[in-house]
Amino acid sequence: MLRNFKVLTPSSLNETLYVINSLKEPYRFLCGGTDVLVRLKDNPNYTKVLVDISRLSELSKIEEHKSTYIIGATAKHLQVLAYEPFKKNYAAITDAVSVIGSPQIRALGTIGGNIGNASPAGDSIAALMAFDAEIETRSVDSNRKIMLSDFFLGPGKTVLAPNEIITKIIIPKFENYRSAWMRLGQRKGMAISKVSAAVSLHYEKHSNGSLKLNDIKIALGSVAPRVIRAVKTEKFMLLKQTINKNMINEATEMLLAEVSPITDVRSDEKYRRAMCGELFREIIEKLVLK
Amino acid sequence: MRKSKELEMRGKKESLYSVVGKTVDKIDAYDKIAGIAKYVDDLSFDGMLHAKMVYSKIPSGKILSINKKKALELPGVEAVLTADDITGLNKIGCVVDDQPLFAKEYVRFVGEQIALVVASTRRIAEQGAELVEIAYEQYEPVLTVEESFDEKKKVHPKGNTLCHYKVRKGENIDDAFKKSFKVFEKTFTINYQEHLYLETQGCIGVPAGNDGVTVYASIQCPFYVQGAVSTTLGIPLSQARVVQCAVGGGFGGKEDVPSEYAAKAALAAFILKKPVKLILDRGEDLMISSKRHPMKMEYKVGITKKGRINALKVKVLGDCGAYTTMSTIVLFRTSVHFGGPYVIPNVCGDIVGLYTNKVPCSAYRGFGTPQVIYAMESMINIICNEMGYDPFEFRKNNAVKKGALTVSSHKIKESCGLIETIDKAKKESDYDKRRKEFEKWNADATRKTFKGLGVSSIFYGMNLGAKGWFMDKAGSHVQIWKDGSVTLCVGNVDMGQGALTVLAQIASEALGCEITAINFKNVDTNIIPDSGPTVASRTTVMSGNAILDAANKLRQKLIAQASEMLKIKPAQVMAKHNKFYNIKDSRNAVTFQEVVKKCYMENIGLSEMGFYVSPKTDYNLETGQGEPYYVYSYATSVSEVEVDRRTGETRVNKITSVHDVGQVVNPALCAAQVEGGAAQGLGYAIMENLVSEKGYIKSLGLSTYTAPTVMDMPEVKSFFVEEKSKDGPYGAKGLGEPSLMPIVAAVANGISNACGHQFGHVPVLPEKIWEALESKRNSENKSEVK
Amino acid sequence: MPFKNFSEENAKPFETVAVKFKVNDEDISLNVPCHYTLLDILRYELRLTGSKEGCGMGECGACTVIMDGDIVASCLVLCTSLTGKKVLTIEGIKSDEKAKPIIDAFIKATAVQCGFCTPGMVVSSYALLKKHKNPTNEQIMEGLSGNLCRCTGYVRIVDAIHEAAKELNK
Repeated sequence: MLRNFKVLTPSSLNETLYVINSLKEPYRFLCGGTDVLVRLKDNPNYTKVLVDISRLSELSKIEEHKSTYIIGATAKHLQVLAYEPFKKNYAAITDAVSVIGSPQIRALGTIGGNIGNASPAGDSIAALMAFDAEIETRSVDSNRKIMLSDFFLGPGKTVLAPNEIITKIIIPKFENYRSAWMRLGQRKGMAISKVSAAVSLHYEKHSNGSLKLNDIKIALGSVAPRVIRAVKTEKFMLLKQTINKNMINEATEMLLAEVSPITDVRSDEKYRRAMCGELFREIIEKLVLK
Repeated sequence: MRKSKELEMRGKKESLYSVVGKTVDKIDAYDKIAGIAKYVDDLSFDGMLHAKMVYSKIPSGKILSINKKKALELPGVEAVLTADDITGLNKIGCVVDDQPLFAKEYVRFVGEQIALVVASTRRIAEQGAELVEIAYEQYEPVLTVEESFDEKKKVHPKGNTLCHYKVRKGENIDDAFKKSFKVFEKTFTINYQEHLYLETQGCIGVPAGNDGVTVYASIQCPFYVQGAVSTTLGIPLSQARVVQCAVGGGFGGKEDVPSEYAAKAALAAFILKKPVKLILDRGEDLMISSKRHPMKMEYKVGITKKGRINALKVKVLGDCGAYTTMSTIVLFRTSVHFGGPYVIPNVCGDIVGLYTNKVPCSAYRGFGTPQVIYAMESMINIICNEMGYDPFEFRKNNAVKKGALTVSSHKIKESCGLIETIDKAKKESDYDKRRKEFEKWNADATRKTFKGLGVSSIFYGMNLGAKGWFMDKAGSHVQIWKDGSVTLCVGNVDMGQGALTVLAQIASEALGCEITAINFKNVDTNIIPDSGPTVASRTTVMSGNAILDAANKLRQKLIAQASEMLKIKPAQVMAKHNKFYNIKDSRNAVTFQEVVKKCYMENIGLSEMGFYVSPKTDYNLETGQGEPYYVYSYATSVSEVEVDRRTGETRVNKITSVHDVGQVVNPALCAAQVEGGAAQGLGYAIMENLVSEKGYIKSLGLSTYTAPTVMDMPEVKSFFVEEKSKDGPYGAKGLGEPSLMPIVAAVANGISNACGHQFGHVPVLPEKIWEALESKRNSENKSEVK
Repeated sequence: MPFKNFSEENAKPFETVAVKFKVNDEDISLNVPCHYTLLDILRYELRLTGSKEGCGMGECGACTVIMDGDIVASCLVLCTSLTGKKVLTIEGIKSDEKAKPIIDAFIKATAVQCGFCTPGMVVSSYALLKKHKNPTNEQIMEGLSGNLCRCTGYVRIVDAIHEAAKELNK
């Protein structure tokens, strides 16, 4: 049961920055509560202080700017799913967010929370990473922008300083990119991903029927201590450029070598590694060969 | 998943009865929908305290010391109870006296209860429980059935074998196999299953005067709890009262286990003289409450040239956990059902129950049979595939029927619709057509999945059986009030299966009143004598017959009164749909209410107790021969599954089940049982994997122990065959467990047939399916390269 | 059976917070320990026991209520997040005329067994039918994907929603 903590409710972003800067004890942010409260119920010593940021309206909007989309850190998953521009051009993001937890969780949970929780299986993370998402953070004395792919140190660990908060997720605008996110879970509904993959790419079809790859970003979940970009595989594919069965096979081999999955209560290392490749293959087929 | 189809047999026998055999709305549905029904945690009492249990953190060891000081110093903590505080006896074992209420000297599994912290709020109790300090001397735990069988390490000093059932039938089994045309052998293993009732275990103990306690709880057997409270508190049964609350699911998990918690809460209430509520949270429930027995099953089956099974040798090692609980009875059922509903002249069976230092296993829907059904039906699948037999023809060829002998040499005298279920399952599943389609599909290399069909047939002994006869009784109370409303009370529990509705239908039929006149009282040991547990699919028969006993006495009185009022002979009176009328002239009628009012005015008492005892049968435990149960229900199920060739993920697309349950009392409720059983069965077959390492359960949440969601459900078609049983109310048998029992085997066979590989372990997880498919692909590639 | 408000007068050192929000259209103003969730407040302060705790971790749906128009897991809503919110529980929904077809359909379809998941199912169905007047099978399954049931196999619950939709569209 929940117990043993106190809740601080700053009424503005500035007040929040001030509060977390002056706190002497460790704290956690509370917004949707779908990760933090679960952890607290499991382990009453998880934190003694919660800083409730759920009412900070300046952090909860999704906006379009000239060359980016900006998702406020406390925007709920439901908001992201309802945002029209994402439905059209960022399929991977809506693919991923639409299966987080359940409808009851998606109405509470936030994108910033999903990122801050830093799970190696974090569903929205791989999808955002496949769009070169950046994280904006603030503290009383700093204002940083960090690539999502550089944001994590390990399971549950980010580069956030003790007095820092995620404020925005910045997604560059992409023209004519196709994307998808897929995962395997223990069942069809309410599943934690065993392995997940997100790909965004840009290609063109030539008059002779050949397919030329212009850009590709591959992000993988649950196959390493943190969500990762498959950098070597991306480089390889961009070097080869021509997309065909051979190239996809070779790329898959490279991919399998870039991951380090583990065996745990949900699945085993061998299967995760192999499935990582299968998901990648299926996504490429879906995006390019159809 | 498509729209469910209604029962097949509608309209066939509707003229026979006015209420029985019809779909009638569940009488408790509205209260549950509106959130009005009271489950135990919805109740509150003045001055109520809250309790939390303190658990062993190690699987095996000696308790060196228990330090309550810090816990008692926490403001709000009122008491920390241990074995030394027990006012009666420190024993809670339901069948065998091997389990203490509170561990005193030794702990034998992670989660064994050592103390009870009682506090003003649940949170303080939880905090207090963390402050109780226990020092242990750790022992090496016994973690597998093989280790236990070895006896090198002991769970209990008397030895690790808690039971060994033998079946010896026919000639020496090795000689019998020599005469077989072909012999097939395989070893199967099957993991735990967790009940995962949506309402966790819970109870409230309330002091009743100075010498008694009333327990409110979520339970399947008030009488077990009453006995446990009496024994552990040291008070007579007459001072221990148990009242059942609405039960949010049981499935066997609330048969004997609630006594362990109820006795603790009752003890605290008795000592502190205040109400004490004890509710388990989900993590606790997953860790400490009983599970289905994992088993290792070695099967050897011999067939004749004509496709008849002539020899069967089976060895089962059941992982019972640290204490017996109901294991001796569970494994008794295993020893009766391991050969399936087939005629087998030569049988050698050894069913062994072994202690391990893990969570004690006990009752779960099917009670020791789904495991061996999986094994036996898998063997039949292997045989049919290798020999090219049609799976229905093979089963029919070997099936029991009237006049035939079961594996126990029980001569079937009545009520056996097995062959009909086999024929109907084949027809309704469109098996031949689908099989051809699937063969084509699987041969097509462009397809992304493999499709398969799986078949399974079962039988299941009704009620508590030859060795449980001493408990197999049921009471009822039927009271007709002067305004014509009726109150029923029985000793069996409605945990969602619809018992109350079915029993109301039986009462309504017998009394001639409308079903809307009937209300139920909660099961209360103050009202009804010991009626045994709500298990073994026995409620319709036991409580139904007990109600008929009372209702028929009342009916006679009512008819006598009506015959006077109508001025005709009693034999001419018909009672139906709230009217008592002349069978020759229905215009000459009086209403139920008028008859009742007249009885009241004439001082004719309209309150009767009913009692029913299950038929007695004989069984020889040495040879496993005799009549283990008085009658059996039968079923055949067919699954359609689809396996992803690349990921090994399984999708169950369709389940077709045909059940012989005798008289169907409520068609929709029967279909609902089959649908629920399909969900629990397919969950067990493909996705419910309880992970346990070194005696520690790792699956402690609903996202790690994954049961089916709405998105995982297949189309479920159910059909019923009505081979009436002479001892059942209106000829009814039971369905609660048979609805789940064939499904694991049917789904596992479907997967095996889709993949062309017989899987020997349940749950059949994608990881294992993928491994098998990969292995096949690699060896195919190798042979191609050659 | 006697009932009494469950509250934590003796509970120290937990801090208390003031909470002001709406439940079933009624203004609620309470002081509760800061670790209370919405589910705790509903069940133990307001004695609205229709919403159930099946897991406490947001994984079963038995605690489903509607908050500001969306279904949420009330066991994961901390009391400090409630200010200004509008909450609708089964107790409020059951008297709504739009809920009557749902309730009738659940009864007629034999969609209730042990009943523990049922209030949550009805709340999710109610929210679903407000959003989709004629839901497809896929929409129904998505809408119920966060509500676990161990008894029914879901078949009749889905049927009930189809029936209720038909009735509501008449």
